[in-house]
Amino acid sequence: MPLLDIRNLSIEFDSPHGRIRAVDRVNLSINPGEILGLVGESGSGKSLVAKAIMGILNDRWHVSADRLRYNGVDLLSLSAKERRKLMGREIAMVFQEPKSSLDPNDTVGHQLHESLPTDECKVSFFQQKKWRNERIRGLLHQVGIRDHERVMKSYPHELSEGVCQKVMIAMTIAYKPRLLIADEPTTVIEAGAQAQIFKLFRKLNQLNEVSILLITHDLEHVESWTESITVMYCGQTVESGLTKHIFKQPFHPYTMALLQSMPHFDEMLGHKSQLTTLSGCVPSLQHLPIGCRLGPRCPRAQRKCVQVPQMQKSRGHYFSCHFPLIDDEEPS
Amino acid sequence: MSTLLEVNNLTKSFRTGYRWMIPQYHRVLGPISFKLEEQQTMSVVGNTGSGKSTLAKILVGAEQRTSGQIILEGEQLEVKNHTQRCRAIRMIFQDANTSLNPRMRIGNLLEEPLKFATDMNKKDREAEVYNKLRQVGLLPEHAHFYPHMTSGGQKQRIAVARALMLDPHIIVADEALSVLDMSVRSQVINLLLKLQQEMGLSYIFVSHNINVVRHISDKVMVLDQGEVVEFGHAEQVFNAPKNDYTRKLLYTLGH
Repeated sequence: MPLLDIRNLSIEFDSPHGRIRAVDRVNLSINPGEILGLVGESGSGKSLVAKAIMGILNDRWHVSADRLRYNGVDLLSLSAKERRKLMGREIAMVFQEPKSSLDPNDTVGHQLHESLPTDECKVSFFQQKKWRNERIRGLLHQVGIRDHERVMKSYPHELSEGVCQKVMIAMTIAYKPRLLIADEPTTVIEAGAQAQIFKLFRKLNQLNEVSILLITHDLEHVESWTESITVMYCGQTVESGLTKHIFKQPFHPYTMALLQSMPHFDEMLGHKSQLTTLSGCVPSLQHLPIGCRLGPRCPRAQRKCVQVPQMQKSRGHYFSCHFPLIDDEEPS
Repeated sequence: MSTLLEVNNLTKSFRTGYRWMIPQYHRVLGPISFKLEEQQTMSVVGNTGSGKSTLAKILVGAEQRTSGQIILEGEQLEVKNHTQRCRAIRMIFQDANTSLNPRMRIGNLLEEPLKFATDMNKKDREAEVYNKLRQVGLLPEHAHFYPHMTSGGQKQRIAVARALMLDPHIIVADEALSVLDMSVRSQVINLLLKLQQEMGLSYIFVSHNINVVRHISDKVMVLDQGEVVEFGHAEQVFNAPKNDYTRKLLYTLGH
């Protein structure tokens, strides 16, 4: 049974021009111990999906879904209190900018203190401080921070972004969550530290069996770190399947365009030659095209594309397109 | 091909404090020497704190060098001569969202360098703005827009147009591509490559996306703690890195 099962999740909000559907019937499912990549450009609604799973969207947003289940429990029918309980314990989230998510007025050590679970402490009152310090040290070592003394004493502004992000991850794993949602964990981090963060996620995944939903805007990042990916465009799921299948043979024109738009060096591409790219840019929420939202930018679009394509399945690989990039002859 | 830019023994030091009344300096960059030819692209790669942004800033004149020479087309560039500098070398900043003034129309934004550095009249300036907007693939009507009315990719195009405004020879781009989305990034790369062919521009790129660097650059400079570790033709550096640091860098940047 999948750990997280989402079917036809829609997120809408009211605007002066009527109700706008920012996320349109998205499907996701994460199995226990899996790393799933959710890829999309900015404005594709991937952060909204993450927030809807956590239940931290404010009242202006209307979330509806055929199924939004975590471990067999329907999240939408839970009361706010029950949901909050689940949120910190079982599902944890790592936010985009670690420095702005940490409290600037407080030392990192103290903030880690606060995030420790209270009910796990079995020692007497007088030994609690020691127990907590040891626990924090263990957490920091687990995320790859060796000089724990210095880090615990310093304020967030004294540390680099990479270290701050590691501290954030240490906070989230204090409760040993089963599902970790990482919302663009490496966008503000320098390139050298990015690989470290991804390695840390993989280590957590393998040692503690944490399922990870890795949200990113760059297809390059997810290639080597995830087992399967879901690609989103403008709030619609475009394609989902195993990473190696998608990278080998994408079915949707959008995924194809993304793959071609990054220069790869195993292919023969002339030095300084023009890259293939989609024309135009991502439409704003007020001016979403009807039907398949890629329509106006798609090189293969035809008249039929004004209807929303149904999700189709081919060899464990889902895509929604009327004119997929599949060879006509059947594979043997 | 003639040498466009020549840099000799460029260094940069910051004063860190005093000891026994004697000022103490910390050298963050250099000595660096390189030559850049016309219509060539040089990329600077390195880890954080390796001084690559400092080098870019010194070249455009946003920061002052401590010692060394910068020679552009046989003419020495003075430290404080900004009019001379800003005509020849211009910069594209990292984040177009924050580097464009939100309270000015795009036309006025682009007109500004012309106002300060040339004595064109208003009509000529307007014509020049329209011309540059067309060159980067926008419409003359965009001059009346405010920056927030355009999309991310268009903003970066405007930033490119602003850099092109005084017909420079060299454009310095400091991480100009890393914040862009995937499909927009390839559009901007295409635009830069097209402009290079049409106008004979030279670029100095500061970036950490190895694949992009490899695609667009002729020469690559690898910096470590302000010193040049390796400098050579792009293919040579990427295919057969001589230095251990380069090898490690290529590995961590996912190559």
